[in-house]
This record gives sequence, C-alpha cells and structure tokens, in this order.
Amino acid sequence: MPDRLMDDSWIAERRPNRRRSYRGVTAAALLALLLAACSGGGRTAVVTERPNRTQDAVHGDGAEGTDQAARDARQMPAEGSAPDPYASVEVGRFDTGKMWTFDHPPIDYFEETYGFRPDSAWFARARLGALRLPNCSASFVSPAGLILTNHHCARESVSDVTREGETLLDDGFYAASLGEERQVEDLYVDQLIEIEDITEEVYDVAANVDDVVAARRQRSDQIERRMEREAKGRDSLLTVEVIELYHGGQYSAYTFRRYDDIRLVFAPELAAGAFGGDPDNFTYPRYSLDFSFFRAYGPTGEPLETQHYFTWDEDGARDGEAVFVIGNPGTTSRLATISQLEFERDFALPTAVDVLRTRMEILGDYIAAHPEEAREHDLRNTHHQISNQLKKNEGELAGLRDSMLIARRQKAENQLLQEIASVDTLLEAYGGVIEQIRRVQLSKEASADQSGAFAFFGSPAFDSHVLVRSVYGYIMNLMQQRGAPQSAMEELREDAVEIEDWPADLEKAMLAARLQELRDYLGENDPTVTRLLQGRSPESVAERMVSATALTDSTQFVALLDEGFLSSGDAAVDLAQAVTPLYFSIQQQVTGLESREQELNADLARARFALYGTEIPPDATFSLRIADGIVSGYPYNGTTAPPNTTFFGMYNHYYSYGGEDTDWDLPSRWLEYEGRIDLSTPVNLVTTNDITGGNSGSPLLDAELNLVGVAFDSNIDALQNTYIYLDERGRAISVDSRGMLEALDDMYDADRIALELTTGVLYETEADADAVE
Amino acid sequence: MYRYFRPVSGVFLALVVLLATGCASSREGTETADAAQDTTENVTATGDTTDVAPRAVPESILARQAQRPRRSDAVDLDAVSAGPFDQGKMWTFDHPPLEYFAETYDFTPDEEWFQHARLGALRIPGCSASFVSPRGLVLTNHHCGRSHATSVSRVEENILDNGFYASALADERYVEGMWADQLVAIVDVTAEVEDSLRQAQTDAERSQARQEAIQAIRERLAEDHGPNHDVEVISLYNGALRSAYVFRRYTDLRLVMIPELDVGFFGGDPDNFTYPRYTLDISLFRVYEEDDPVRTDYYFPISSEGVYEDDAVFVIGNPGSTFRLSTVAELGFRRDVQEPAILQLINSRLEALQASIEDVPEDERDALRNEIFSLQNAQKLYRGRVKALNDPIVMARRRDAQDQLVEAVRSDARLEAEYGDVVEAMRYIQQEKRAYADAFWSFLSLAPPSTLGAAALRRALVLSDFVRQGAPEDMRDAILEQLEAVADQPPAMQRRYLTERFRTFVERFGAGSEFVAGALQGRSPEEAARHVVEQSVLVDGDRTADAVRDGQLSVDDPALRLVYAMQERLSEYRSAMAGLSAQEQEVASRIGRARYAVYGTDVPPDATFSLRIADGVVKGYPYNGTVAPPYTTYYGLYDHYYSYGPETAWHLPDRWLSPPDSFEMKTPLNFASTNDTIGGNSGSAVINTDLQLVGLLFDGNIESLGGDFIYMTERSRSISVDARGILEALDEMYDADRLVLEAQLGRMVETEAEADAVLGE
Repeated sequence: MPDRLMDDSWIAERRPNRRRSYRGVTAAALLALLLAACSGGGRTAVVTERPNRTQDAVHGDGAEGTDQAARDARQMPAEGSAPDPYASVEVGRFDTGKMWTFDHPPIDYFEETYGFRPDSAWFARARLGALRLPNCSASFVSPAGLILTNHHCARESVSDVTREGETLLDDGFYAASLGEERQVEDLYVDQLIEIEDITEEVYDVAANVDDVVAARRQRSDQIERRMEREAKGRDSLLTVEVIELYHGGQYSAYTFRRYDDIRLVFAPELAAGAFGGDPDNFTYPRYSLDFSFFRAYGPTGEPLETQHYFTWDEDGARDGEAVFVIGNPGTTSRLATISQLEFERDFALPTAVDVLRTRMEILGDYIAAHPEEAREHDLRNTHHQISNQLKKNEGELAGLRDSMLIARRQKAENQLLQEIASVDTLLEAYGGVIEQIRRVQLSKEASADQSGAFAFFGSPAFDSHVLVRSVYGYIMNLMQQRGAPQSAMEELREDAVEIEDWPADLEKAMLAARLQELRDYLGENDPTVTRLLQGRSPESVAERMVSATALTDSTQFVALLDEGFLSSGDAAVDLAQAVTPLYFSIQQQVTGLESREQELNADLARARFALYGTEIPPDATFSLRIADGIVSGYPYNGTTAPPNTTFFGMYNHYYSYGGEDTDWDLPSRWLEYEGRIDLSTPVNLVTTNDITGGNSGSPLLDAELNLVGVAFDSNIDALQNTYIYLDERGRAISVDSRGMLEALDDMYDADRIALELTTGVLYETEADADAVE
Repeated sequence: MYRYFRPVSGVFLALVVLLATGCASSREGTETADAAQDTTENVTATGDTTDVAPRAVPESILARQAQRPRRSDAVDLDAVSAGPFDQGKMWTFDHPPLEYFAETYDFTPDEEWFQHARLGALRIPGCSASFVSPRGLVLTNHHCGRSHATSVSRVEENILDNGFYASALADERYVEGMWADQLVAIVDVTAEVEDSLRQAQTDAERSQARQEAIQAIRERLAEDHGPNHDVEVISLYNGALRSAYVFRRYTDLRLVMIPELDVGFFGGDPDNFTYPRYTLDISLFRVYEEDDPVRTDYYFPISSEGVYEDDAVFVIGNPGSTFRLSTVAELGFRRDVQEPAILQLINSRLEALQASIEDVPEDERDALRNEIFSLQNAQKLYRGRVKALNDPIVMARRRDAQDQLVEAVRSDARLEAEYGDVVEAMRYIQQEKRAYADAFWSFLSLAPPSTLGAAALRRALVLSDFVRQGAPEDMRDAILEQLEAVADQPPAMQRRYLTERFRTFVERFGAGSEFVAGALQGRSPEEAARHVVEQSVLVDGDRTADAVRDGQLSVDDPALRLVYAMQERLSEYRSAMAGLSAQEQEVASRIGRARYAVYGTDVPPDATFSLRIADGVVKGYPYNGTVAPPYTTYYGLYDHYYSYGPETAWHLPDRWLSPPDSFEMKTPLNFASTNDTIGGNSGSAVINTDLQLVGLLFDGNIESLGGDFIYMTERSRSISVDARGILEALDEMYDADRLVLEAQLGRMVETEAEADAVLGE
C-alpha cells in the first residue's frame, strides 16, 4: 500500500501547477520561499541553443535507412511527388476537450448538440450530487448518503477496515446491516457548494516584483486562508480551495463541504472488481465490476440525509444516447505548446518509460520468484501502480509520435500566434511568449541527461529503500546542522519512518538499476559515478552496499536517524554523500526552469483567454468538471467494438484465458451461482465523454441526471487524449447501472442496497429488505 | 485507470524543506559538494541566477548533446536482422523439414505420417478440405461450402439462411459441379524439363520446348495412374524446381451439413480478418464413388480432446500466393505505388458507392450493398498490406535477407558469374516502373470487366479504334461481344467514379499539364464528369449496343473524346509496363534459381495453391493494449449477440437463442495459432502430431495481413474453429449424432435413429 509520500506524488503534477496539498504547505509555496531566500545563491542555469532539432526528430522516426527505392521515390520529379499527408489537417472544435467547468458551462453548445437547455438548477443538482475523494471522484446515489465510486478507489479503504483473520480485498465486503458498515479512518469526501472568480484579486500584485508567479501564489494563498476562515465561521464543515485554471489565466475559489465520517458498505472481490487485471487496464471491451459503495454519516453518527443525489436508472443508457460525466479529471496538457510537447515526446516520456519498464521488470521477476514475500510486502500493488503508469505513458508517447497529432496541434498554435499578432495590445504583451517557452525547452533539453538520471528519484515505489532512507538520513542531518525548525524536522522524520522494509534481493536489484541509470545518463567519467562505482559494476556495488548497510531494517534505520546518520559510519553514508548534493543541484536547476515556464504558461493563458474567453475549457486540474458525450462503439482491431458488453463476456474471458491463476480468474461465488444472474445484462459500456485519471468513480448520467453508470477507465486509444481530445476511437469506460444492480441483487444478495438504490428508502438490515420484497 | 501520479518524490519535498532552511548545498565546500559541482560545471552558465526566472533567456550559450540512452526511443534499423522464418513455414511435401520439426517439437514424423497427412487432405474449388472419416466425410469451411449449399437449395427452402442437415445418409444431396482433389503422388521432373531445353536456341524455342515437355509429363503420368487422375506441374522457386503433382479427382460430392449463415458467418464482414472470433465456419460434405460413400484409410478423426496453449499443430492445405521472395526494390514499388494506388482506388470508390446508394431504387440496393461489403473487405486487406510495407522493421528485415543472399552469391565465383547482377537488375526494372507511377495511379481499373471504373469510359476504350476506323462491319460482332463484359452502372455512380478519376489525373499530372488540359477540356473534375455522363451515349449499355449496330457512334462522343485525349499516354504506359513485366518475370526466375542454389529447400518456396504443411503452436498474442486469449468460447458468441444486438452482423438464429440445457457454453469455439497460412488455406485441417483433427482453419487476424510479404509471429495469427466447438454444436445444437459418431469414432451409420441406438449402447 502506498505510504504518505506516495500519496503526495499522486496528486502532484506534470508541470508543478499551484495545487492543494494534504500538508497545508505546498511544494510550490516552499519553492517560492526558497527562491525568495536564495536569490543570488549558487544556482546554475543552463541555456543552450541546439541546432538541427528538427532533423533529430525526423531521424527518430526511423525514416532513414529503410530502402533505397523509397529514397528514389522521394527524388521523383515534382510532378509526381506525393503531397504532404498532413497539409490538410484541420484543427477540431473540441481539440482542447470537453472538460467544462461549472464556472462557465457551455449551455448553448449543449442545446445545439443535444436539443436540451439545462438551467442553473440542473447544473446545481449535477454539481451537488457529485463528490471528490482524496484521489478519485464519486457521487451520492441515495437520500441516505449512499456513495458510489470505483472498486479501485476503495481498494485501500477495504484493506484499512480489514480485521484480524479477514481477507476482505480477496473476498469482498458487504455490510448486511447498517450497523455493520465500517468507518474508514481519515477518509473524507468533498462536495462543491460555491464558486467565486477571484482572478482580479490575485492579479492585483505589484507589477515590479521579480517573481510574478510566486507573488500571485502568495496572494492566492492569502485569499484562500481568509476565505476559509470566513467559511469556517459559517459552518465548520466548509473548506476553501483556490483553483488555478488556464495555467494561471483564471483563479477561482471553490468552497467545499467536507464529510469526514465515511463508512464502507460494499466492495466486490478483487477478482471481480479488477477483472482482467493489469493486462486489461486501459482497454475495452471490458467486463469489470469496478464499483463500490460507501456511506456518508452526519456529525451525529446517523446516515447523512441529503437531497442531492442521483437516482439509479434501472434501464441504463441506449446506444447513441447523450450522457454526462461529472468528476475531477486530474491532468491534461492540451494547452501546451509544440515545443513543450516535443520535450515530452523526446525527453520526459521516453525517460519515464525506460525507468518504469526497468522497475516493472525487477518487480515482476521478484514477484514471480518470491510469491510469499511479494504478498507480505504488497508488491503486487506497487507493480500494479507502475504498470498503470507505464501503460499510460506508453500510450501518451505513441500519441505524441503520431505526426498527425503534432500537425494538428501545430496548426492550432499557428492560429493562436496569428490571432495574437492581430491584436496590438496582445502582440505587445504576449507576442514572444511561445518563443520564450521554446527557449526554456531548449534549456531543459540541455540538462535532460542530468534530470533523466534522477527520474522518479527518491520515491519509495521506484527506488531502493536503502537509497531513499540514506537520502533522508543525509537531509535530516543537514537540517539539524542548519537549525531547521523542529516542526519541519518532525514532519520529515514522520515520512522517513513510513518507508517500509523491502526484501534484500529486491533492494539490490532496485539499487543496481538506479546506479546503472546514473552511469548511463551521466556517463562513466562523471565524478559522482566514478565515486559511486569505483570501477565496479552497478550490480556488485549494490550487492555489497545492501549486504553491509543497516538501512535494510526499519528499527536500525530509526536509530541511525536519531543518532545522526552521516557520522554513523554506515556503508550507505557514502552513497548518500555522493548522490544527494548532485540531485539537489540538478533539482534546483530544473525547478528554476519550471518556475519560469509556469510564468510563461500563465502569460500565454492570458492571451488565449483574451481571445477565446471560456469557450475552450481549461486543462484538467483535479477540480470538478462536466463532460458531455454519447454512448458509442468505435472502430477497433479491424472490426468495431460494441457500445456495451455483457456478463456472457466475463465468463468467456474466464474460460478463454484459463481461469484460475490468471488475471481473468473469477471468485468462487461467480462460478457457483452463475445460474442466478441474467448473463445478457450489460456490464460495461463505452461513451465519448472526455475523461482522464482522477475521473475514476465519476457518475455517468443521462440528460435527466439519472445514474446510468460509473466511469472507471479509458480505452487504449484514449491515452493520447492527454494532448488532444479525439473521439474517433478514444472512449471512456463505465460500469453499467444494470450490471451493478444485477450483481447486487442476484449475485451478492445485497437486497438492502439494491432496494435503497431503486426506491430511495434506507433499510437497516437484509431481513427488512427481504420483507419488502 | 488511476489518477496520474507524477515523479515528484517525497525526497523532492524534503529537498525543498532543506533548501528553505539554509540556502545552498554548494556552500558546504566538502568533497561531496565539489564532486557535484564538477559534474555540473560543464553545463553551467555563469552569471546571475535570476537569469533563469526573469524574462530574457539568453539566445545561445553552449550545446551539449543530450546523451541519454533512449532505449525506448528508436529502433536501430541497421541492426535489424532477418529472422530464420521470414520466408515462412509453408513447407512442401516434396521436402518437409524433418530436422527442424525434431528440434522444435521433439517430433520425428516418418514417411507414413506425411503420407497420411497428404492423403487425408483435399483441395476443393478455391479452398482446402480434408477427410474426417473412413467413409469419405469431408470437412471444410462454411464460406467454402456456402455456394455449393445454395445450389442444392430447393424451392421454398432457404438453406443459406436456415442451414441444412441430412439426418440420414439418403438425404445427403449431390452438388453439381463440385470436386475434390487428393494429392496421390509427387514426382520431381526438374531434370526432365531441363533436358528438354538442351536443343533450344532462342527464348521462344525454350518456352515452346518447356511447354511440350510439361504436357508430355502430364499425359504420361495421368495414364500411369489411370482414370480420374489429373496431373499438374508445379513450378517452385520461380521455376528452379518443377514437380509433377498427381491428383485423384473425386466428382461426386454431397452436402451433409451446413449451419445457418448467421452462425457460419457470425460477425460478418466487420469481423472478417479479426480475432478474438466466435464463428462456426464449418460445413460437411461426403465423397461418393459409384453411388457409395468412398472408403479411405486416410482421414483425420475429429478430436474431442482439443488443444491447449503452446501445443504444436500442423495446417495441411493449399495456400494461394505470397510475395515473400520479392526483392526490396519490388516491395518498394508495391509500397510506394502499387498498393497505395489500389487502396486509394478502393477508398474513393467506396465513398462514391456509399453516396450512390440513395440514388438507386430500393430493389437494386442489395447488389450495391454486396459490392460495398466486398470492397470493405478489400479495403481491410490493402490497408493491412500498405501498413506492413510501411513498417520500417519489415523492410529492414527483408533488406537484411536480401543482403545475405547477395553476399552468398558474391562469395561463390560460379554463382557470382551467373547471378551476380540479378538483384541490381530487378532494382533497375523497378526504377523504370516508377517512372510510370503517375500513369499507374491514373489508369487503374480500365479493363472492360473492372467494375471500379465508370462503364462509359470502359466502353469507350473498347470502342475507340472501331469508331475511329468508321465502324467497319466486320468488327461489329466482336465489339458487341466485348461490350457485354461491361455491366451497367447507375449514371450517378459513373459520374462519381469519373470525378474521382479526373481528380487523380489532376493530382498526378498537375492541373496545368497538357494531359489534363486535353482530358478535361478546361473543366473541373466534377464538371468534366458531369459532361461525360450527361452527353455520352456510352453511359447506357443498351443504347451503346444500339448505336454500334446502327453505326451511329461519333468520334465527338464525350467519352470517346476523353479516350482519344488519354490514348497516347495510356498506350505508352501499357506497352512500357508490358515490356517491363516480361523482363521482371525473367529476372525473378533467375533470382529464384540463385536462391535455390544458395539455400536449397531450407527456405520454403512462395505459395502456389499447392499442398503445403505449416507447423505452429496455439498461442495468444499482444492485442488492443492487452493480450488476446489462445481460444474463445461459446459464452463469447452470446456476449457478442447481446452486446451488438439483434439484426446486426452478430445476429443469432432462433435455434441458438434457446440452447438446450446440456449445451456447454464454456466449450472452446475458435483458437489462434502461429501457423503460416494465407488465402486458399481456408478449410484446411489443423492436426496434432497424432494426425487427429483439432481445428479447422478459416481466417487470419488483422495483423496477419502483412503475411503477403513476410512471416512474423509476434502478433500475426491463424484462426481456426476448435474441434471441441464443432463437436459440441453438432451434438447439442444440431442433434447430428450420426456425424458425431462417425467423425469421432469412424463409424458410419445411416440414420439418426441408428446413431442414437449405438450411442445408447
């Protein structure tokens, strides 16, 4: 299970946008502090102009060396030469997507497209029925506070409420009576109750400050604190969060009501909830029961009474029907410039893919060889998260390597440039922004080797825990020396001790992988590399290090932390002393560039905003959005994918892949009671709604706001939608309301819940529910 | 799908905390910090650090090429090497790869095994088939038996839709004109043919002598084997080897069983060439001799055991044709000209057809729809081929194989003398052909029966000389006969076809070219097409025939004027291509000899619709972001029916909608295997090492479409109906106990009642 550090990385961002944190102090705010305190310090900046970039890119796609004849063909007389295949590429109206904000919903567009004009009451119902979990979306589905989300969003909660001797994750959980619903510690849901545009107030900072981004951020923090104080005065359940939209082009204060007594009601067996496992993740056709129920309780410990909820649609959605996803999409890069996309394509993503693949292999091999230890350390979950990330990055990379995608984005950028140029004030203020952004990318490219060496560095899922612990030891020692505040020290120590022990063999492999990467990226002659390896192989260094250090053991680690790590003489001290300073200096450099980039992003956003207003939606920011779409199959695998799947398909997969011990295994209940359910019931469906990570658990609603499904994934074709929204093949995947009801009713005997969903009446026990039936 | 998590680590946050407390690690002045400093020195721009954050980013300071390894990045095409089986695994029975079978499967089949495999297999019109019982029961695909089944349908019956089962032997129905060939002997006649050429001096003489020799061999062998035998001389490796194949031809075949179209063609055109699949693509016939079911020792009993992932299986059948021995230059021409030109033709005609459907009366639309379906399949096929040809890895592998051949020829003085120039000669020919690329794109589908060209234009091409010569009486009948090959097309469709062709003219030759000026007469493609369709008599078949008879055709007819404008370019193109194609054949034959001289029979020859044995294993593959399973089950059939809904390509007949309780849905229905197959293999038996039939081959997946050019097993798969699925359907769904008994146990009974009695024993 991911520890807190891991959690933070989950909400962190591709570009460090201004963002909410559980700590109350954001990384970005700290950075601001750092920059303010350190100007004039030893920071290094690297700026280069690299020639022949385009040529490099062309070389990368393997156009060369294919065939003499092809070259001949290209040299044919102009009369017969083929036209540029992308010359006719057009920018689509919805290339930037359909993740509309509730600040500015596109009412006219809805009317012209779907023939209905939702009023403000409709939007209020949609907004108030939707909920946000710490890293997922959810919704109220009964007047008694019943909450629907995904199984994969509840997975940790299921583990958290598991008692001695239970294996709830494998067996599933169902509270047959109200009294058996289990409270999940620290879990909460947020309901968005108010939105206020505070852009002008945030922008009202002195014009002559050095770092505009930091200043605005400070300003927005002040506003946030002030508003939260005021809100809490009204109602202690309220919290306020400032959401940065359009990369700082707009600031909105979102006021949430937070419910913090959340209890687990139902979760299916892991095999049913994650049917198809890692292989089927991000794919369709699909047959997963990826849903679960919680219940919100009020301050008095009674089920929350709420008038805002979505009624269950027992008939589901038809092929071609308009449907809406209300949820919190995490991150998209659809407003990024071409140079930013190229940096992603040529540097950031390939590095990420390499690093992730290496970790996947190491973990996969280890799990295969040591199934017992793997279970003990929950390595499957780590493997699963990395696999998820890897698949996403690979899909994104494939998207960026598709010349059509870049051509289309290029065209949009050219249009934007022209439109900026056609307005004098815009030209003057923002005429050079895109070029400036490009230069920042060149600088990032020049240091890509260094930052690549440290990709995913220090996160316990990706690095040897010996290494991570040694780095913590180093940092805490240094902070001690410099008299850091006690509170900061304590917080850091808390994080450090949460790093769990890993088996020695896994440690060795992970450490060797990082050492190998340092050597590959920095070069054999790099002083840090020379010092670390001293002519030996990464494997042998890792082998010795892990065998000799005390950091493999959590108790000894804590002791060393408290005694002072650097003076302990531990074998890993040298490791930390070699690696950490280099990491710091590279990170400083990267951070400086990213800060600059953010400021430029905000400038560009202002220009775009001046031209297009809220006609185009902002990039996703894990804040509430409404995405419209329709139920629709799509071209796939040489044929067409159906709009929905059925339980027949689930059994087909079980038997086709070989059942037991595969990712398509079924819980014994499903094999025993197959005859109970109507196998032709739809189980999953696909729609054209624009969603991304963070949308997991979002309600899928029809035009009357009846619940027809719960979104849980995208198909493989939608992965490139990080950069451009294309609905030819990209699809959102949801669990069908009919499939969920059928499973609850006939497979799990959860009549209490099935009845609550269909009638809105709360039944305390199964017996009560049975009596009604 | 989880929330995206980003590589900002906890340590990064810690760093921030640390830096916030004191300012720079570089202040430390320790050895460590120095080391770090060293590392970054060469990329450090000195100067005020605030330069990073503020507005001005300096133009240029220094360039250090990023050296990161980029493993996930590009493939080094120079390092790509040909695989040992790039040319495939369609082995001949003349030279089966015994050692390779032993190495790979630890399986050493003896001569008897191969004889049994060969004699159990059959060739039927356009397809493959096999005996599955000692009394002549023949199994093939639904799509191979479909037209034969239709031909025995009686009034009021609709066998195609409703299926057919002869519940008694006596009910089996004779199919007119159907035959089945069994390969009874193979004779190597290479030397005999070569000998006959000794006296020949010129090319023409050689060709004549060769034909005579082949004819003599055919007659002699046919006589040796007695009546009902037919001999074909098959040329392998472009003529480097010649084998006489002696077939026993059976001509009394009777329909025994065929399922409903909805089941036999489940998934229809959309699912064609795809997997996972759920199609019961089977039909059963019986061979009779003297009105009695034939007796044969050679047959493949249908296995109820089935196969499992990684099991070795062998496909025995007649693959049609492949281009795997083509040189890189030939493939380059295909990639850049031939295949994309044909694909564009298909694409544009499909669009035109779809737009035309509204203009056509309701009762004529079915024919149009059929044409659309078959074009959609062709589109799928050509897309797959274009995609494969544009895969740089495919080309790199083919190039490597070619380099190896060239190198082998070069290292042997005798071969070098004889064949040293062949690959280069082929490249030269391809270059010559490329000079006619524009004409190639422009003049596709102009032959009289080519339905993808506008009828008016094809008629005009038939008529151009005739009209110009003043419609001489003595040519009239021949002309009328030729015109019959041109079927009528709705005028609106002709207009669309012509528009597309004119657009291609403009695209290829340029709007300002003399050619386009002559052909379009200053009109836009749309206008020019409209002009032809509105003004030309040739748009209509009957009116054209009348005008020919009446001698009323004029050189001013717009369709004819178009042809006269095109003619010079067209005939230059046609004669050039004819010459080049003859040269090409000659060089290809020399390359074939060179290859045979170097590799012998280690590399199988290109497919020639003659009997081959292809080995492989049952296996899933990476697909659609996940993996495809090795086989599918009947559950999937129902999943598809309910997912796509009734009245779609996944419709099911009534019988299937209420299956008996005893019907096991988990029974495997189709499976994927790595066997090397291609069109013509349809209906092939898929057998195990014990010569039992474990599957019936019927298709390849979408990734297998590159198989025309190279055999790769990463994703490409053959698709078969699983033997278990066949038996389950016959037994439970069709109550065909008679056939289950016969196919499984080899025991033929005459009626269902008798079968029930036997099974009840």
